[in-house]
Amino acid sequence: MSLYALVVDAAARTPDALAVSDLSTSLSYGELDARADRFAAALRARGVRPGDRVVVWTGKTAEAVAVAQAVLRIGAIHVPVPRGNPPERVARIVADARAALVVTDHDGQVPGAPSLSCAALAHAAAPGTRVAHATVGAADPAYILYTSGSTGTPKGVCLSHGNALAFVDWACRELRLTAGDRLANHASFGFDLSVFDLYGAFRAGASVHLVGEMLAQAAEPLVDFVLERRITVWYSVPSALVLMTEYGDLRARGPGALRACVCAGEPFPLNRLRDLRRGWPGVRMLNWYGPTETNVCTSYEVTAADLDRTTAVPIGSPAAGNVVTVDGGEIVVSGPTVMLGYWGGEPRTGPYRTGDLGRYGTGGLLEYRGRVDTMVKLRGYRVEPAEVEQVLVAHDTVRDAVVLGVGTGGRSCLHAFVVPEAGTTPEFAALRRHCASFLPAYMNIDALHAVGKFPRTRNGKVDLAALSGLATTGADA
Amino acid sequence: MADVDRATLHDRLLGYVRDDLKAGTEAEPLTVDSPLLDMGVLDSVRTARLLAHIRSEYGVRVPPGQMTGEHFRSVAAIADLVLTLRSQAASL
Repeated sequence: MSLYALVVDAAARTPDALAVSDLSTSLSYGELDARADRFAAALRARGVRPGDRVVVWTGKTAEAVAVAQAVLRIGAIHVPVPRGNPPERVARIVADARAALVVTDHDGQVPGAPSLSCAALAHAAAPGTRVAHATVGAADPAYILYTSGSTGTPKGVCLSHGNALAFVDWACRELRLTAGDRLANHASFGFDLSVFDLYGAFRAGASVHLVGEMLAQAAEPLVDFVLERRITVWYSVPSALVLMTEYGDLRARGPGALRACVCAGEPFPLNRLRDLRRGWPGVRMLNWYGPTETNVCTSYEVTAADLDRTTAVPIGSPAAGNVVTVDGGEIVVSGPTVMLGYWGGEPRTGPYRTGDLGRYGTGGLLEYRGRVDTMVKLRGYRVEPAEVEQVLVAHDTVRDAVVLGVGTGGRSCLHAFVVPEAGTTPEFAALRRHCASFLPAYMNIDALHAVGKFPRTRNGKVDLAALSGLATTGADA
Repeated sequence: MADVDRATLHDRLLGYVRDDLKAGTEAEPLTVDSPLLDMGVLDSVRTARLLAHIRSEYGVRVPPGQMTGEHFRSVAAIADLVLTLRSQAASL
């Protein structure tokens, strides 16, 4: 069973049903199926072979979804890269993935990589052209999601058709998705939350409504979107819901047609969660947990019983057929959704150690307790401070840099501590501009502190706790 | 405000984005054509504040279908969007 079969099957059952809709284009299952086949023929004509990596560097469009389906249909590996990534970072991803082709829908160029626009791809095969779909096994790679890497270079998490289907099957059952559902897709295509929105919808024959990168961070129009599109199932990082509540009056204006609201990627601020639970008693609320390497591996349903709670909601019980244990305080996962490995690295063997701290608490429910290392979660995105530090030290005014995550939940942000080059003064706006040329927007710094030297611990390491103290006292440069 | 011409709107929006949203630097001052998205100016909180500003100052709400990178790539593009939305509201 392949991941691409979900659209093929839905198109056979209900060709006229709405499959995917962006702000300007809607495709029925029949149309998506035909377009995917046409793109697949064009990719084959361009020499893309089974197992090749195709980087799809686009906005969140129905067309890009068709390209992804095409990549899978020819047995190639889909590498989604959000349009907002600067060319320098895309180039590093293309190099790491050793991509056969970059498909774009804009003017951005990746030097040295063969690239093709969606429009050119559409013209490369006549309408109605079909190619035989590749035979793929459950263990064959389907897609690679690039996350921030602790070595300073993006890291590719490689997932199989079987990994994705095990999660999607579980999620569809858990949420009882039907063809009548209308899912929003808030996360970027490069973020594993999209796997549920897209493939969950396709498996159920439901529709998925794409939220573009700009709309995704516009609180009030986003609430309009949920209501106008009569969204029934919402899945996002909690910070999106918090923003929609604070700036878009979500709780009072909603829930509209919403029947389920699912969050993952970071802890949900308790007060906000209780407000929504109290305001929308008829909407199911779930708290899902899992790093990109495992997709969702635990789940907790938030109920009226949580209204009196004074501690964070648990991340819950093992999900999607996984076994989740705690070893030396660290959450360890094995099971059908756990990745094949990092692209270019050794195949994974044995359970996956998440680097997240956890504890089984009352009622046998897993609780999240923070990180083993310095990795930061910002609005659900993983940020390895080393990747940002490497970019900062490349600036003329920066001799040395340490980056720290400060705060929790939707309030967390990145603070940069820099030692200036002699005779220069690092400027916050200039460094943000510099970072924006090399990093996606969510990895940009939120505050800058210039220091003469870094405080050190007795054994000579940078004293992160002392720096963190500087951040909270507001000693801005 | 009953009507606003493009040049005035450019000045006022430029002032808001520069001073309230803290965009631009001494070495590279903000202009109406500066690429706001490439500069990393519009994160979610700044976007929310900008939309609230557009609503209170110019009396228009930006509908979801207009929330595109194209319309927010620069101060000039935002001004065009505001003018379009105002003329649509006036013709209703």
